[in-house]
Amino acid sequence: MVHHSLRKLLGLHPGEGGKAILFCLVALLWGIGGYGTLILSEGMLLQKVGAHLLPYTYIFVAFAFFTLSTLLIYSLNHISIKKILLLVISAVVSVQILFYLLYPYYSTTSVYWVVYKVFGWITPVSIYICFWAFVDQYFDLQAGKRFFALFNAMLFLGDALGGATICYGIDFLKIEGLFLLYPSLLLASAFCIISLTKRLKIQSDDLELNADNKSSLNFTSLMKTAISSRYTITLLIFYFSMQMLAIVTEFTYMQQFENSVKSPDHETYLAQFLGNLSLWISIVNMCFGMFIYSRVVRKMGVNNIIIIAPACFMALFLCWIGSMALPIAIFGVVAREGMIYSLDDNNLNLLLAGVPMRIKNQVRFSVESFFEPSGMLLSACLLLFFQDHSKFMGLILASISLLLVFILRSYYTKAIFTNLVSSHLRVTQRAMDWFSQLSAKEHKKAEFVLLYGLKQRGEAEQLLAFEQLLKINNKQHLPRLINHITSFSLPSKLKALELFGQSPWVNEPDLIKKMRWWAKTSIHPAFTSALHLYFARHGLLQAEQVFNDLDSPILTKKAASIITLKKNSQEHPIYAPLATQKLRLLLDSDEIEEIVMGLKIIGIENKGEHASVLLPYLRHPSLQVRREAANSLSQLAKKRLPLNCEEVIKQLQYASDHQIRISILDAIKSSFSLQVIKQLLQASYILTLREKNEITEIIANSGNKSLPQLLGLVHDWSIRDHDRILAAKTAIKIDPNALKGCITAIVKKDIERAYFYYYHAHTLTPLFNIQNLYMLESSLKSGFEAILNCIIQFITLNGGIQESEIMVRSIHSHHPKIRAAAHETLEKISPTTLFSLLEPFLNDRFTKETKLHLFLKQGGVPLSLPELLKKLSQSANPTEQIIASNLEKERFINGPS
Amino acid sequence: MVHLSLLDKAFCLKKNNFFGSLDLDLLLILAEKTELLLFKKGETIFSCQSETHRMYLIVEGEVAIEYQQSPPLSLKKGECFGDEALFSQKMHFYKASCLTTTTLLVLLRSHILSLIEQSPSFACSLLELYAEKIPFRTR
Repeated sequence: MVHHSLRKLLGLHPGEGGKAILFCLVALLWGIGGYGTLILSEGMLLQKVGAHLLPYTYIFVAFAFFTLSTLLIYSLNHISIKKILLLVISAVVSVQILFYLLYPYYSTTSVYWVVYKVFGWITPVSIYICFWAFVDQYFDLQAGKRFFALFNAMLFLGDALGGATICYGIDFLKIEGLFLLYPSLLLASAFCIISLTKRLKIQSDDLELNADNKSSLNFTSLMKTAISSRYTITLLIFYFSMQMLAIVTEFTYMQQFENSVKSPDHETYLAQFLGNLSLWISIVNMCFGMFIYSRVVRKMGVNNIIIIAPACFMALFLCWIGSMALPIAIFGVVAREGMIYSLDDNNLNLLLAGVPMRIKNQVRFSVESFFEPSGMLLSACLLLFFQDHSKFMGLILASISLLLVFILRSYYTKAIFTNLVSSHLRVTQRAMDWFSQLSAKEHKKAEFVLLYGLKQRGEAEQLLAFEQLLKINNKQHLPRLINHITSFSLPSKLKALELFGQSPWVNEPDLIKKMRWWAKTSIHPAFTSALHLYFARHGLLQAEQVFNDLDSPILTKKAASIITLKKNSQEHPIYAPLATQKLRLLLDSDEIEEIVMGLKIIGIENKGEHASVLLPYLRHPSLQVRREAANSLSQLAKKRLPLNCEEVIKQLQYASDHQIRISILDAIKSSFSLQVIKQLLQASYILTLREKNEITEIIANSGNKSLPQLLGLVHDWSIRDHDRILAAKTAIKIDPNALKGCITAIVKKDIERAYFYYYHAHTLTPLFNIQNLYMLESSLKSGFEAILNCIIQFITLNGGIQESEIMVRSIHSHHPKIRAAAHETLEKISPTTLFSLLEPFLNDRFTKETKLHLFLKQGGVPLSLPELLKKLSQSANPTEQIIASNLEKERFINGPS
Repeated sequence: MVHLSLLDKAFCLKKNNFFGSLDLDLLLILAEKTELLLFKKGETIFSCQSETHRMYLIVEGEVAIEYQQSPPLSLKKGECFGDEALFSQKMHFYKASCLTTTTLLVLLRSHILSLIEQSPSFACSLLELYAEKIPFRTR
């Protein structure tokens, strides 16, 4: 009971207690050891040496941090976080013991205590950074909201206990005793870490990269990745400015306390006053972390909670400029000691979820050990020159931080989603787009790689390079490409001729000259025939030359003759009917090769009236024939010849081959009209993602005119959800705000549908044959899943994210970190009212009973089986229609039981 | 370490049977997601019973595959390994180590699955390659 209440009080879910205790223990142990060392080093330096050497220690500390961050970032590439943490703890323990051993000999020297002070400062910070990187591996973003603040609270407790060991234990343990106590506690924390790693499984950030896996991230790619992420840059600058703000605040309140609190009668009064204040703030910080932060962050969202700290600093400095009252200075201490530690540090752990995954730990390390010390250094330098203007400086810094936090906030959702998307391949651009984005130097280099590709052993690679070099359109490469054809095998030679035929160099004199030479000298009939066909295709043959070939037994010769005679029909009108007759014979032949050649001729001929001839061949039993027919159809469409687009779309539904579908899509692209939008979207059901993208592209190219029709389709529940999503996706492509006006109405209606399916899927009673009811039940369940996915996609599209299917996949991912990040993104992009409607289906907190109850509460009416079957028989989903009609028939035969 | 441009990586992929059917559009997109790793001679890439979600393609060097008591199998430039764990999601049942200094191109499971979704021809190539190795499957 106590355990249950405590868990609830701490905001943890059932089963999370054990995990929390283990991590809390680690945090507490190293908190006492780390912060104890820090306090001891500070106290002993002042006691034994005095404050005059403090500036030197600050310089040493700053440089030590820079070295530390370099070392840590370097080691991230080579060893796991766990090993880094254990190494850091071992190093700290060893150095601490060394200090213990040297104590009898060097404790009277200043150097000993200055070095101990530097070490004492680095100890907690270095472990702190590694600890959080280590902890982060075990929690996703949503769990982090519950746990991280609790662990931070434990660190505050450790901090307090570290101070207490000095306060109450120094007389008993002496310095030497404390020198041994702290490393012992750190060593104990190391054992806890080892046992923890054995018990718990890592939820790797890098999706599928294990913690022990090697990474290739060097400095250049690290910098490139960081610079390419605006979110990361803003985050780093934000924490830099917040650190400057903290130092300026501290300086300002210290200055005020010196003047208003310092008592000439009591030499330790100021220290006691500050100590007292710090104690209370630490207690509040601890309680805030333990009981409040997790609740607030879940309620407000991390993107809102990050505004609090800079806004408070802003308010503080605005008040400070107007008044020098003591409570304002106390508020300054609260802001410095409370806001920074209890809010900003907790927020950092959550905000890092938006940093590119591969540099997340590097960014964490650099914030703590590079940007914050740098901020400290810069603000210290500025304060040296502008001591009297610290309040204005604070106000400016607070304004900058506030501005930065708003920028950070605007990037947050997109940044998290970018991380999700990075694990998927997105065909957003073609190779030629990639080439066009290259700089002149890069382009040159790419051409060099392609030329080198021609020398590769495999012909597939050579052809790839050959094709790309042709597309690049650089005449310099032409001689090399022409000569390269001779080194190909026969199939590649034929392919190369085909590629040349599609290139801008199709009639290049050098090429034709070479081809004529090959035609004379080549011994391979297939190659010479292909050359002959090439000449015919491009009008390089005379009618007289080929007339006799009309009856040639060699198919290509016959084809070349037909093409040439048809092309020269004006000069030689008597041959044309004969050629047409021969073409008809080819098309009607039983030989596949002859039909294919006939279709090829139609494609070459490019006449509008041939479209109707081609269409029936798209359903020919031979794949080769279907492919050629589709290819010729796309050739006709490219010439803008009139095609019956509706008929072409109909063929798309029967095309089972990717190559055929691409050709048909090419034809549709050229003959598209607004009247076919619905038909086209409905036909896309069987297409792959890449092909569907083509369809949205085709419709989107028609511009705003298609928008009303697309939005009408989004509102049309009589069509499949798939078609509605594709309509929405296309609408978003045309106008990113297209769904804004109607999203609430659409989602509300779909939520109602989702509840309907959920309720009936979970409340079916076995009235009929069990097997059939099982089918009905699974159909209802899959119907529910489909509607849920549809809602997620609509919300995602409305939020300005095109990759809505990636969001669906991420929401259902097995990986908790991906799921949590998707949940976070969806929550942030969704209007609050809509997300609250959707949440019962996404959050495990909502039980089945709650959802069933919600259906009834929202006015849902449970249907009887006949009513349910009737409703399903009218569904847009054919599977549901079939199941409903089967069950209805069975019910009719057996009668209701 | 060998520096490879995106196009170089695309050619490396094209050389392998798995990716031979892909066009340059997809190869470049896939190449962008790959990571280059350098291993020293004798270094273990992964050990037996280790969990992994990566597929490795040899760009340079030679890799030894050690499986139970069988003599080690040597894989050379252009060959790949680790792919079976992507689909079975089980631990590796063999050890992979480097016979020479080796550069590997690494692909993640999510990228391979995403590629299967985008390119049915790639899925078919995979099936063909796996089917070649199986003379009979107990049903």
